[in-house]
Amino acid sequence: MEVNLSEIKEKQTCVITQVEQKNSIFRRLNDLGFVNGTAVTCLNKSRNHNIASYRVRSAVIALREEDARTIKVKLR
Amino acid sequence: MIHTKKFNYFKADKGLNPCATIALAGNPNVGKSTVFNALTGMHQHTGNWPGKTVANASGTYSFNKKNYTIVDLPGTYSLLAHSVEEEIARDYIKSGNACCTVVVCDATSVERGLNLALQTLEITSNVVVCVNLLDEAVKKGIAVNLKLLESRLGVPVIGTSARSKKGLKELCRAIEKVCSSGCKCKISKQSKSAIEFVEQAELICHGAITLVKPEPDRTDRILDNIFLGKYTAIPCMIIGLIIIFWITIVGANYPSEVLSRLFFDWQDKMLIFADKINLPEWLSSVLIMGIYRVLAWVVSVMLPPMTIFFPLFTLLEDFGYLPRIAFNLDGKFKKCNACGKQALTMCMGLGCNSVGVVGCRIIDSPRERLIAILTNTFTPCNGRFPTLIAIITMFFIGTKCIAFSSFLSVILLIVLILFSVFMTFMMSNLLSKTLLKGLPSSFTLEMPPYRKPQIGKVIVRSVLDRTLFVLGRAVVVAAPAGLLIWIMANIKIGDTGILIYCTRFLNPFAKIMGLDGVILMAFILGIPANEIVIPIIIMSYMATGSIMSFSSLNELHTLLINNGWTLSTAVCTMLFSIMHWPCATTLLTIKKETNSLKWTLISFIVPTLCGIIFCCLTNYGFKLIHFLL
Repeated sequence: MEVNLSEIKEKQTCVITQVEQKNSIFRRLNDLGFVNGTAVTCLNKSRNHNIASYRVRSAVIALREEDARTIKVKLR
Repeated sequence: MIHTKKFNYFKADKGLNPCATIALAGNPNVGKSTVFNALTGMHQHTGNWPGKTVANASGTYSFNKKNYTIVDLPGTYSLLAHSVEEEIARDYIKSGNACCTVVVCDATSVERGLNLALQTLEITSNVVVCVNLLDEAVKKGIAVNLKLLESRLGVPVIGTSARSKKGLKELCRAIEKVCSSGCKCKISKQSKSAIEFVEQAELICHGAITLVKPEPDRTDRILDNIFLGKYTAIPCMIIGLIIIFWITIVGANYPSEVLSRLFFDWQDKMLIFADKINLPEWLSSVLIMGIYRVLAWVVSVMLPPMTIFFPLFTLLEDFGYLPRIAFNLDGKFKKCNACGKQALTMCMGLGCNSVGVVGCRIIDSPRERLIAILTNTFTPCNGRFPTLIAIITMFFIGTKCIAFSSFLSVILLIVLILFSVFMTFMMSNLLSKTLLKGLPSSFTLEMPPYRKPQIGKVIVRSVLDRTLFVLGRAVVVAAPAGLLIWIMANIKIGDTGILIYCTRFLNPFAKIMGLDGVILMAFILGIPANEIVIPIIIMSYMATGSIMSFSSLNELHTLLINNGWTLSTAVCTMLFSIMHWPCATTLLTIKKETNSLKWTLISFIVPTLCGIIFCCLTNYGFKLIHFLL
């Protein structure tokens, strides 16, 4: 079942199925390793859930909720 | 051998010999600048958050009797050019100016570094991969098989620990080998997409990176759970502020007392000596009561807090806490249509507003960058919060009974700083709804691993740097200001000094704001350096009053009261200190960064207007309360 990365709860791991191309940071996400088939773990979410940190390819990147929404994932 | 030069990438530097020039590339925050410093012996500051190197430099080193020039490129995640930094890096590597490109990677995150290395290899085959921070990887139980990576990539892969200066010889040797094999630049094909580079990097790392411990980043995650936790994030930030400022205030107390007693002792001795050698009275007055006195004030009252705060702040930076602050405050910045990274530039502004303005380059969106630049001056800088501390000490607390009163001073200072943070949010919000309208943009914030700062080294270097800097500024700015005050006080038009004319002129306007003519004049004269404001106020009062000498902040309280200070005056002065025009250095920096006279003017007007409005409100608020009671 495909969900948005922003819906993943803390400490859950998922696999990326699609990164939306219209996104202005699509290229930057690719460079950082957010690519189809990559495993991503959600680490911490802020109090009102508007920004969250994710571990991807041994680095930790924080994304705002509306940007994480453009990444489609499948729960492990 | 060592020289500092701001590198202009857009002018081909014909002086640099291409067969001895090295380009240093790599992701942000992998220790590129540490490698650079280690090789060249220069002291570019290296902090622990992405985007630290915003001003680039070139330096030189020699190895095996040959001289090499090394150019530190901006940290980039890729060379596929989505941002100015990436364009600069890619264009430089393509230009063939460098005979060898060293791609620095973080050993705890090699895959990402290899992504950049592979993109570099598309452009030139003269590459050396430097796997830095090897000591951190060992601590975390990450084993990197350098030989295997070397065989798969086809270029030298050298492991280093630039902080402890390990592996540098091998790095120089590899660079030498690559340089001497001639300069080969490929015609750029750029056929691969970003995704293909990422996948190729993954393949190359497969089997070359092994985890000795199952969870290498366990400590980082535990710390993040505390610093980013829903209920612990803000308390941690406030506790951090309290600790830092408590150490600053308490630590500065004793040196301040000692220094001021010492200087005023000397002052009396110098006066006696000047009398003995029959120095003309005006000369001894100008030298001792003018210049020397203002220098004494700056060094004894302003220098100790500045020298103590800076190393503490640097340690916090090096530890890696600042991106976590940005994470915690991003929500509020988003509501103001600004960027969460503004939290980082605000923190930098605590050290120096001008550095904060330059640091705004880490914000990609020009609109959000401008908001960050314009509001940076609301954060009291290193030169301003000793003013706040001095007023708090002189007027509210006094320097008796150290322990409890210090705690109270810290709380008052923190309240002021929180107020300035609140004003930053307010102004960012206002700007984003009026002059700088727009929607929040996307951004990615990297959260680097926590690193143990080299405490001894940072403290020693920071204290020395800061002391020299403040002393230097004292001589260049404070001494002439003291001279000016003396001249204004002693040269008379008619039967009153120029000083009194000036302060009388400013007085009516200043009184509306709850200040007085002397205070306002001090702020105006303090444009070159904020730390001379209090010394000028003191000197002006003393020049026009009858108190000739005293040695401690306690007695200053009397001086202020005698010159009409009330609680309202103290509060308004502190408010105006937080919200007034940026200092000269910051204004020049803003002009340089924005390239626009209009925005520089706006950056002058915005905080000043806020200061005037708030001071007037506070002044009349106090008057109202006084009237009602």
